[in-house]
Amino acid sequence: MLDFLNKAKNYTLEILGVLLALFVGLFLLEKKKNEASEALNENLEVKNKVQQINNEVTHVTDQIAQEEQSRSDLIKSTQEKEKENVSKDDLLSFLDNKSNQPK
Amino acid sequence: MFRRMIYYLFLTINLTSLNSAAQDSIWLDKDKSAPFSGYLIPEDTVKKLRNDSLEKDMYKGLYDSTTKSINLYQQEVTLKDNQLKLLMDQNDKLANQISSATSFNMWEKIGLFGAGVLLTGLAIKSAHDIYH
Repeated sequence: MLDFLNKAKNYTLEILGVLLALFVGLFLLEKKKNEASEALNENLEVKNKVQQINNEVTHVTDQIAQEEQSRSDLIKSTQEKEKENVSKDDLLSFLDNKSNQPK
Repeated sequence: MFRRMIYYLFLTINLTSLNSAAQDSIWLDKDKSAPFSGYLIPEDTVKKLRNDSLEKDMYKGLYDSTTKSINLYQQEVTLKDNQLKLLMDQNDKLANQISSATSFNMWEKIGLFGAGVLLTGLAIKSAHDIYH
């Protein structure tokens, strides 16, 4: 063991050089890894934002569909009301409502 | 023809005092005297008036609903625009990151060059030591 350490002492500079080169390589690799990790996190954030916008768009689309449905219902109910037989009282009430309606 | 008609009577009132002077519409049987002055209109006309009023309300409702829909469409367009911008920005960022990942910047090049020089020097020194 002592013999090995004595021999190794003669190559101290070489060993330190190799270690330094390895350190530089590892440092660069770690740097790249961190950059990739940051990019992944950022991409995840963007993905969440996109999903959030998608949810909002879906909500708005639903509201648009509801409005379309309400228009369709309104037309249908008006047509039904126009066709139905109206009683005398209903017509009188209509006239009263109209004459008392604020201008 | 008018004998078969049923009439509604309603009073047109002074517009300046609409609420205070309002009188209720009444049903008036044929040959009965009218309790107050006013206009007598046929039942069919009242029905038509009612239908016109219903249609007016319907068109008002349709107008309001369509206005709301337009606003919603504009909201949707804005959201889609934001989404598109976000995705385009992200695409640019990712492209830049891929570009930087596949190449080295100046300091990385200097570091790698230095490490290469160091290793080459050490290899030459080692070879020199071995043969001498």
